[in-house]
Amino acid sequence: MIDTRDKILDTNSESLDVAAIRRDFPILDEVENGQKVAYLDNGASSQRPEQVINAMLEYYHKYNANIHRGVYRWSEEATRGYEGAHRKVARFINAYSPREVIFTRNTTESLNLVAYAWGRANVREGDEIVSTVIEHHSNLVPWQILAAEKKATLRYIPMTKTGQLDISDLNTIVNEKTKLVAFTHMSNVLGAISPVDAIVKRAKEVGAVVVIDGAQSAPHMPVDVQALGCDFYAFSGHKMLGPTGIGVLWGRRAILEEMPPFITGGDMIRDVTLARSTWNDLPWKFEGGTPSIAEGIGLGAAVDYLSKLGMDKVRQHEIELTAYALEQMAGIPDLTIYGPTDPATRGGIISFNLGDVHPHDLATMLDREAIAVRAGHHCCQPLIELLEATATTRASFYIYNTPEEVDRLVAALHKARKVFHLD
Amino acid sequence: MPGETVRDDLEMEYVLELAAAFDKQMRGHVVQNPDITFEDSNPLCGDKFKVSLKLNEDGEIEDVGFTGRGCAISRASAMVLIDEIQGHSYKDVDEVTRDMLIDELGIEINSAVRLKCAGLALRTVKTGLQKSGYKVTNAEEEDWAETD
Ligand SMILES: Cc1ncc(COP(=O)(O)O)c(C=O)c1O
Repeated sequence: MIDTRDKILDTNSESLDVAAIRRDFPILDEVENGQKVAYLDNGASSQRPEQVINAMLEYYHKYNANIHRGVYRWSEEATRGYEGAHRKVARFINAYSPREVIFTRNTTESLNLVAYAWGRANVREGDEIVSTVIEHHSNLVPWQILAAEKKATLRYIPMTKTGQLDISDLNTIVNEKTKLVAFTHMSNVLGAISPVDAIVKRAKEVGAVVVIDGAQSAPHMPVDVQALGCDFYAFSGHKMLGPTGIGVLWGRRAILEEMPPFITGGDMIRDVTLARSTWNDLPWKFEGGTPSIAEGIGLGAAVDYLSKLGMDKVRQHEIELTAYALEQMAGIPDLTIYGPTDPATRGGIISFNLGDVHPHDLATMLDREAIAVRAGHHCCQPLIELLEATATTRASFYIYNTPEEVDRLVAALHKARKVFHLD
Repeated sequence: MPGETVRDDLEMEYVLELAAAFDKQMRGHVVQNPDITFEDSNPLCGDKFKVSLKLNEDGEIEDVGFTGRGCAISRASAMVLIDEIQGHSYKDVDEVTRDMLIDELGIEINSAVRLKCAGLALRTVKTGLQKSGYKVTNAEEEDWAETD
């Protein structure tokens, strides 16, 4: 795989110019235990480039004010920045209109918005909701609560041995009773990319609404919500170079118009009398209260940054890096790697276990080598159970990661075999 | 930094020894007619311990058993804890703190997540005692101490 390694490093190729990208992320020069930190926990949260940090600083330094209220310049500029970020996000995911882009706090809130606002109004006793066994708790618990509240049945799409969604029984699981199908675009544990087309096609045959959890896909691959054919698509700013505290729910306009609001109060109303209230236009109808203004502006800057790089190139870089990592890691004795093996069908997320070493202990040892990974159940307890593991260690890549960092991970895993007496 | 590496390996070595001792002592060990059983888990990683305690009339802990799953640090600190409390009055459990256990392990822990690992067994025992009406201080306070 020397080829792959060289290709990633070759700045003249079609790939990302990783060296230039790294200069935008001063945090990557931070040193721990005498080494630069190899940040391989992007699945949990990414780093933010100077461009994003500066956009937020500029708001605080030059025009900090609440939006949609003041008629003075600061407030107008803040409103323009915050609303403009909706437009940027709309372009980024090819939404039909920025009105379909709702800013939330994160993926979790976006999915809860669907469960509470759409779910409560549309799911009835005896209906069925479909999720999958590989979901993040955020795309599972809201449906459990909705199903219990409405006396609906929650069914799950299972997983194949190789860690892909098993759609062989799809026509039974998704049936005439199904009102909603919710699944992840990319598994945050296995990296597997879901068979979106097949699931959407079946859901549409039975008239079910489709919710896609895009927390791991929006940051890492080109996403076109119209082409996906879903009805809702949720993701988080902090996993895609943006700040924490800002997330997105995209929804089809016709559905959003029909839906009752979720969080009610200020900013989301048109008229309020003591007897009743009417709702503001989309998307403000779903953005009750003063939103995360600086964070919204920061997300806009993050989307600008990614768009400038090109999401095709982002995806290509991660395919190459993942291929290289899988190849190198295959040579480590006692290492179990979970999930699909073909880099074309997965993202840059690699979950593994080294012998019977507890992932926490392994991650602590890697931390001493200045390698940041995640260890635990990754908020996917049902999936971890299916893998017959108690937890996994997970390395996840992004635009600034390099083959050298993969080499460091691999060397540290070889060393871990000695420390934990596996050899 | 070779010096660093050697120290890390040695540090881990003692924790692994203690964890292995814990596994050996707990394997097949069943506390007969326990007065207290209580299960607690680390919400960050899903690791779980279930403790069983047998106390005599004087409130002395006669037998301690753990089942469940945990990382080396949580098992090693459970081993240290057992040595500290077995044969002692339940009141003495109050004297044991997470920091003491970590001192015994001989490692430095500065991650909030790993601190929870090191404190899991102690938390399980203290909360178990508390829920059964024994007066011990609230172990959950310790979870907040690390934010100071
Ligand atoms: C697939 C998936 N869904 C949902 C989430 C939840 O994201 P957040 O914590 O930003 O709400 C995550 C991230 O942890 C994720 O990876």
